[in-house]
Amino acid sequence: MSDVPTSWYNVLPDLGFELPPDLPSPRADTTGLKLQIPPTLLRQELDRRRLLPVPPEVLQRYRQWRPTPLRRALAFEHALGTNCRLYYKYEGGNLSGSHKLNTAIAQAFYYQRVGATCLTVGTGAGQWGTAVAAACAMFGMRCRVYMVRSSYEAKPGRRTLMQALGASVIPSPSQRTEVGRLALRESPQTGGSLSIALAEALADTGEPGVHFCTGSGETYSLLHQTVAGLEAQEQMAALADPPDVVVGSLGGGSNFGGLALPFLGTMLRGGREVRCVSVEPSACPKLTRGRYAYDFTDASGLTPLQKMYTLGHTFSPPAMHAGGLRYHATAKLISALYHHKLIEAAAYPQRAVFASGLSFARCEGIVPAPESAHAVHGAAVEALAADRRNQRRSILIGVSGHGMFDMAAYQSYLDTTMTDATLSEQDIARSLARLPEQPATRSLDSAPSR
Amino acid sequence: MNDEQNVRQLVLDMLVAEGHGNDSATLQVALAEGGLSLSSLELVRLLVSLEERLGISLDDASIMNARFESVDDIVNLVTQSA
Repeated sequence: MSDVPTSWYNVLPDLGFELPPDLPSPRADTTGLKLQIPPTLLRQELDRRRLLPVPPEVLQRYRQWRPTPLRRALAFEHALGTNCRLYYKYEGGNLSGSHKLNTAIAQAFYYQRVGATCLTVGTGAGQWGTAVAAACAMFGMRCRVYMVRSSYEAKPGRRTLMQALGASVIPSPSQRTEVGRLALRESPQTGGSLSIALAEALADTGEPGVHFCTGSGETYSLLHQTVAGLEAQEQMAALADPPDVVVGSLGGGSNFGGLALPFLGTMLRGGREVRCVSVEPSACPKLTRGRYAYDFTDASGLTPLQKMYTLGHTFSPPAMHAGGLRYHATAKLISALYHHKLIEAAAYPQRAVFASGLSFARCEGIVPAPESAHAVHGAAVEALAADRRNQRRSILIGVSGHGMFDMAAYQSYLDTTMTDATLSEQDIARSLARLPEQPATRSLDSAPSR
Repeated sequence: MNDEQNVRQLVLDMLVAEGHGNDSATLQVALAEGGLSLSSLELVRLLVSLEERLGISLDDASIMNARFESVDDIVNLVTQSA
């Protein structure tokens, strides 16, 4: 691999269908509209060119740690006893420790270009918060991070890293915003949720120059993340072993999308067949048990509505250790791909996931983030299933980040206090009952394309 | 060429074409009463279409700093950028 891709891959012209339009929030003030997102990011969502150029200022930063390594997991293959070939793309080798820096840098660049001096963000596991804190530090901007309280308390190291980068880190729910105060009144001991943290970050933008940096599930975020998939395509082509299966963990959708979309696009243009498998926690099963519906993107109930696979914006998952996968829904792009049967989804309980994560760490020398451990486990399941069919598959795993800030989670697995929370149909039905009123059926609801 | 009246009519026609009203005359009344009621993406789609139709380039910072309450706000942005 000689260099970093100079363009991002835009899957939209290859889809053969349009994404369902966002709808204005039925509860928001509709008497005026002020953009919260830099127009260039929204222009990227409307662009139908297949390759969109990476700005030189962003490319310069990418070159500090990219291209990221793609390695064959031979020891892990041996431990599994599989005949499949497992490769992993490792995105943890940067300051933020995860793939999220790929889009955080791009977003910070575009926000600064329209006059932003401070970004506010909501973060679950802390990866997005750390990435934006790092990006703000690079571009000389301030940063305020609303971190889900349970993660804030469980991951003091990640909190310290964000503070070291110059960010203010606030446990959410907080007393600083109306959304936070309401959540604390309803449940004083709550550990918080990502949707509340997002709503607090959005509310804390009253000062001039302060902007809410939405997060990593927007279509433009997935676009920026394709730098990982494009690199992986070239790296696996150089090995003459392109993947039959691409496996990534699914939270907001950017990790999975970033790795899978370039491979999927090649297939959609008539190229090599590939199965793209997203892996989510059984405790937050938006694709496997959620509903494809218009929903708010956070708990405030004020955001525009996006059509997504969702468990409901009021959904609060049971205790689990992959904070980055706790989001109630997933990206509208990933949701549309699943609706059209272009990708697959699997859900696994966390103890099995951590067992695979530890095995991978012992074999390969990288402790995967709990989120990434879902992909590792999903790939192991895929490999063993292929073995039973006497198929020798090439499988690509997205190891989106390292787990060095997640030792409390790994400790709970080791001391057997970790449990597999069960999620009943009633639990899901309760939050789905609070979905906003659905608009009239739109064209996307037609029969899936394949 | 890009005088206010022409731009206003163009904006109204584009909004009707996007399904925001039956005709531009009734739409103008509806917007005055209820605001534009566009999502951010719809607004930028409209602005991009205007750029293409009028051969202009709208400044991102100007768009970001504007508040769009009526068709007039879009017309003002466009005519000031022309």
